[in-house]
Amino acid sequence: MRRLIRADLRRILAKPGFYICPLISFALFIYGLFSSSIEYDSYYSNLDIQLAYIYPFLVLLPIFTCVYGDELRSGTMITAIGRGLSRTKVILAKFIDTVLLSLAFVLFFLLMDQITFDRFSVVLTKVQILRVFSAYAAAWLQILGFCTFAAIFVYLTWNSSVGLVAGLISIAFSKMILDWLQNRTHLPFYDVTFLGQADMARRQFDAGNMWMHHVFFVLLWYALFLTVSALIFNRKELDL
Amino acid sequence: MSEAIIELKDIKKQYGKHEVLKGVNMQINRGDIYGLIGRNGAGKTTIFKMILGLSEITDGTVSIAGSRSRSELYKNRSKVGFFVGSRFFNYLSARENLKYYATVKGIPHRQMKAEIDRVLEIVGLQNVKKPFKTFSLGMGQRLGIAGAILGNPEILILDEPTNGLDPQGIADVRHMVQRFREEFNMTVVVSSHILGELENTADRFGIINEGVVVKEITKADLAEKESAIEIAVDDLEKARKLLTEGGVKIMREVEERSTLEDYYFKLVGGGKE
Repeated sequence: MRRLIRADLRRILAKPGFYICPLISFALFIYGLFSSSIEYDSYYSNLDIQLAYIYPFLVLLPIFTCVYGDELRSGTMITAIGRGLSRTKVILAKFIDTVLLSLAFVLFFLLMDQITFDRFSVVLTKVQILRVFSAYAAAWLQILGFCTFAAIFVYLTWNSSVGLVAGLISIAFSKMILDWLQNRTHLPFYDVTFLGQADMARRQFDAGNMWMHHVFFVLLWYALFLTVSALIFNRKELDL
Repeated sequence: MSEAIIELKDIKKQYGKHEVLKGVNMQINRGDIYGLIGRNGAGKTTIFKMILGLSEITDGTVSIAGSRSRSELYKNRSKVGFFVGSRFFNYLSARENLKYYATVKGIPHRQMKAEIDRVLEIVGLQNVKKPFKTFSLGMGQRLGIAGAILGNPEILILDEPTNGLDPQGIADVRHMVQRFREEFNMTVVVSSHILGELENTADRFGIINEGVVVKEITKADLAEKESAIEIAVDDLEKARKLLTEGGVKIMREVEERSTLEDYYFKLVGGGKE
């Protein structure tokens, strides 16, 4: 499995197309650096929107194109399976690819924010720094949740575009719909999901309370999505 | 006694109500070049999928290199190299694609470059630097074979390796397959529609028809069982009579040995009008 992950990361990083989304965000960042000033309060209030909608999109697109799309187009996945790697391990390898690549993206975004703070000489307090970190960490957990959920559709349809669309739709609407359902029914539709649990972990962390159990529930959601993927993929006929 | 390196016992495969394999029994021995013959849809590719674990077996057992359990079967699949079409990343070069394969196969990093050079030289692509998307069909096939022999596997499975190749390409593949056995001690399983070509390449044949291996035959058996002599004489009637007594001048003698194609069609029907 480690070998597949290593091979995957190497070939993904060799693909010029993988860098399109980071380059777009970098261009926007450079534009921002020279076009306006920034202060912590306005930055922090915008951060939630960016983390909930813009960054997941910028992460999902290259991941679904490179981790799954190229693999399905080339048919190379059968190399690993034909060499004796179980399909469950292939799914796990793809998940770990996603974890590492999405982490790299999130760290890249965080680094850009740090440079912005330096550029405008914004000095953050320790509490503010921790709040930024927790916001990013929660966003990362949510992005991973979206990716893992959407991957089910890739294994189901053997088509990465379907997975990407499922991921983008869920990014765009799930929060809104679950919030609406929760408010209407007073049942924890949003809170029980990986989205709600990641948000709660962030809030509890910011308030200095226990937060790890919420992360544990997020991990349980990942395990559920991976199990569903494995059940589907293990029954899948792979065409030669 | 020959050592079985791949053994299929009563393999059945069903897609819904359609039974593709109806109890396939097959034994491939170490050192064989085994030709798998059958019409489109006869079940050749399904057999390869079963061996490689790409399709769930409805019933029966597959054994590779003496594997007795599922975990051993998974482990022993690492001894198999396979070509089932050119499966490469478009944006990578031949060398980069092989690096991907070599990493997945677990070839140590310090040996990787030498191993990639070796297989590229075998298939004649050592000087090709362009990305895979610009490859011709023949080049793609060659690279596919290079990927299959990376790491010098004990068993090599080639599914229609000559598909779409010109006569020179077909001859090259034939020489390569023979070299794989002679130089690298590989057992090769190869399928092809071109029976004449397969006859020149393989030394054992499995004939599959409607989901069953109807016959396994060696090249020697083929020659022995199906040979005939055609004699052209000046007087056929006389010849018939005199041949037993001797003394007829034989003008021309043509040895007509049944080809694999003749034998195949005789067994499964169809073919020549």
